[in-house]
Amino acid sequence: MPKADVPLLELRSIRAGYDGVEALYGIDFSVQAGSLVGILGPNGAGKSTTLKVISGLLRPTSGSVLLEGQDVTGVSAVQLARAGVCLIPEGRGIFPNLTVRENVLMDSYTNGRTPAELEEVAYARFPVLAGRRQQVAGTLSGGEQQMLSLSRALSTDPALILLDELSMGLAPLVVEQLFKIVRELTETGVTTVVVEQFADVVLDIADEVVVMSHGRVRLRGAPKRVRKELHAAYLGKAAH
Amino acid sequence: MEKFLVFLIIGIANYGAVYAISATGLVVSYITSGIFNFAHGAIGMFLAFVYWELHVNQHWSTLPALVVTLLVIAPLLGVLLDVLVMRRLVANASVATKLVVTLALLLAFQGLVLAIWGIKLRTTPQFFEDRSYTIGGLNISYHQTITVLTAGAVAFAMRALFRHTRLGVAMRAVVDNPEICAIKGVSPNQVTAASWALGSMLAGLAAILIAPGLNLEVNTLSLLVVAAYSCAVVGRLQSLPLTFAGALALGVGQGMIQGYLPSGNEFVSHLRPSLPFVLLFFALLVRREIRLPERIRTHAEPAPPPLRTTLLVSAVAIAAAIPLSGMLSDYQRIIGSKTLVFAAVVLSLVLLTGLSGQVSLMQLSFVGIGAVTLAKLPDGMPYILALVISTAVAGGVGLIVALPAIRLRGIYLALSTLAFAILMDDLVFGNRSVLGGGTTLAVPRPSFLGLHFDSERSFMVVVAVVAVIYANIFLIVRRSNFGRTLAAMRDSPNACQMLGMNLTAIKLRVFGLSALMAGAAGTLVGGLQARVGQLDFLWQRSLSVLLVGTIFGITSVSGAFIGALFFVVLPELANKTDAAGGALAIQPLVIGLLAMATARRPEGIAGQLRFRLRPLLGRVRAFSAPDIELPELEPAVAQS
Repeated sequence: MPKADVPLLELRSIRAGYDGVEALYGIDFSVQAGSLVGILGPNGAGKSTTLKVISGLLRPTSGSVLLEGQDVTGVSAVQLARAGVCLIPEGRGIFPNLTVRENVLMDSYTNGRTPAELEEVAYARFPVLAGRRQQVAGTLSGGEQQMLSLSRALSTDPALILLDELSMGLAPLVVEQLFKIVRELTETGVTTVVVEQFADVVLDIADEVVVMSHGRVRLRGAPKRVRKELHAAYLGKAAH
Repeated sequence: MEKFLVFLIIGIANYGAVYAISATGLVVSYITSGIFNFAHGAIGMFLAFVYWELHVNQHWSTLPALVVTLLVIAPLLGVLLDVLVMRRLVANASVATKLVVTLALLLAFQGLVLAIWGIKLRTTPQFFEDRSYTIGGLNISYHQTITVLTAGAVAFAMRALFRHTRLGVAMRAVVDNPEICAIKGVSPNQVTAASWALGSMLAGLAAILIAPGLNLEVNTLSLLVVAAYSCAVVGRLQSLPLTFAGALALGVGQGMIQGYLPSGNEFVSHLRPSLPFVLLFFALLVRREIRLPERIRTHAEPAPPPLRTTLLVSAVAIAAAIPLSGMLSDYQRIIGSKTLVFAAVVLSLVLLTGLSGQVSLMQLSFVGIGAVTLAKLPDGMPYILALVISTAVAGGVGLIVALPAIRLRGIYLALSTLAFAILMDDLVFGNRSVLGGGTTLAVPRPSFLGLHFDSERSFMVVVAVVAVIYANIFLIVRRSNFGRTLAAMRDSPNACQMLGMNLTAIKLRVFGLSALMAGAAGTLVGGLQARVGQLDFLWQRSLSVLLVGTIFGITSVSGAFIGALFFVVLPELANKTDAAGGALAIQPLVIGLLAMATARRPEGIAGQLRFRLRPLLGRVRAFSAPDIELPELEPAVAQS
């Protein structure tokens, strides 16, 4: 069991960038075990970069990432995935040329479940996928692809789920359905970080919200408080 | 009936089964890496030599030699290739870069084998010596049986690997998206290493099985496995069963040609080894185009110099050539002429590959057509007329070949040009009835307006003028609207189509122009050497020209000239070394390795030099800039 006083995830003055172009200028925030934290902000705020740093895909230029108090800065994405960090990346985290079944099979590297068990969990939650087991994933609809991508968060019992722009390019009805599942997941006690451009859907379900713009944290707090100041934060006036 | 069965068995066991193993390996490595490995055959060839070294030269017995070659050295080689070459390639390389790198690898392996083992012909024994058994009156050797059984086993094993194992699925998943593999806890590096180890093992297996039927020799072995390309294309680089079927059909076809067509005929004797390339050509034509995702290339290209500068440099170059050619010895003049002729050939490729992005492995075939046509025309014909006809023939053939080829892109285009080049090697340049019964043809040097350019000096001046004209043709095209269209097509064919451009017409024009240029240059290649034969136009030489162009800058005139100088001087230097087989080995090895090292930069070494030199030039200019006193400007806004 995680210790109550140590946050499950903590970022300490993270700076990171791509090919010398800085994207994050010192990010600090922490996520308590079992909570759902939303990261909001406009395009180019550094939200996805933050998730890449947490999941080990991008090595920060300075600062540290802590999981349950342990420094994991620079640990590879492969090792973090096996330790229970589950990133559902932006723009469909699936293999388009593999079948649905084969996509699910690829989830079996992170925990002890057999492919059959993984399939069972995925299809129980998303029955539409069961009918498409042998279909090449790239030919699924956008919503179905996102379901397939999200099924890993359900079936592999991760300690930390990172959701990047779950809503991207999806119909509002599908978005609603997917976020309903996210909320249910959180109620089982799993820790979740949700990155979204569209604030409302996150403000409804998050325990705490972090607002970013231009690579910095502009605002942190409970959804109620953030909702009032959100406009100002988006337009970059929160720093005063 | 019995004859039919005999040749059916030969077709299946001696050809088809080996093609199947090789082609399966090729498709497996494509499925698991996204890279069409032109060097697949050459890797196998290298491993067959390793096996020969252990088994024949070091007298190991069959089994340990096999185990060490296929289960130790082959996987190690695969992993090494992955780490050193392929891994860096997958990330961001364009299709053309991937192509050039595996082609360079092919050349490098040929050079490596020549460097280690020399050019002596060798034979490897069959498995179980020559033992055989008889069924229904037919004599079948153990080796044939083993080959067929292995082919079947490999096909089934690979199918099972991809269908039913987690590793097989992961191998395909890595090609789709390595980053998602990583976040699913699968190390992309481990998986690709396993893929290349597997591909290398299959390449070695095929080569070792086929080696006893042929001589163990660099060209035969790499060329023979080129046949696997055609089977792989039949399977659309995806389907293992189709690939297998294609391989068997090809093998049986070759068996039947061997059995039933008259053996004395010159054409037929060339047809059997050429059949794979005929199949490849047609397989490429009839298959439905699979659009590979394309990456938009972005690289800074220097703006062409202004017309005035170009003309000035051209005039100075021609004016300098006349006194300069007088100062050289005849040997130096030949080297100079050779360099300038090849600069012209490379320039025809700069237009096609550098500017238009069409990778062609048949450029020397057009050079050959130009030279051979000129040689075949009657002696009494005025040179100018003969030159026009030869050039037109090359351009015409270029258009005819381009017609089917232009539908294709990337690897498929390169493959079809390779198929054409090999067919031309076999059916035309290596055909004694074309060569008038001998192995070479005499080609005259230019003569017009009553002038004869037979001396080395006068010939060098002619060649210099031609090279300068070629450079100007290229620069004029590049500055023109047509040139901008070509660059646009190279950078994004899809965007061009959306703008309503007719890509077919554009490609046809550039292929035709490039073939015209290569053909005309070919008449001079012929004149330079006085005699031409098959060896001058081999596809390997087309490959070398392409790679040399890439090394020094396939996008620029300076790259073409420096590359041509390198291409001509390198063998001269290599000939001075007296290592056994060294001279032959150095050229492919050096070109191959250099091309691998520089393939990621299309501007090549010439471009790098230009980039490095620019600050220097800038300083010179700043130094000579006139001092102009600048007027003091009033601030527009009053300071508050």
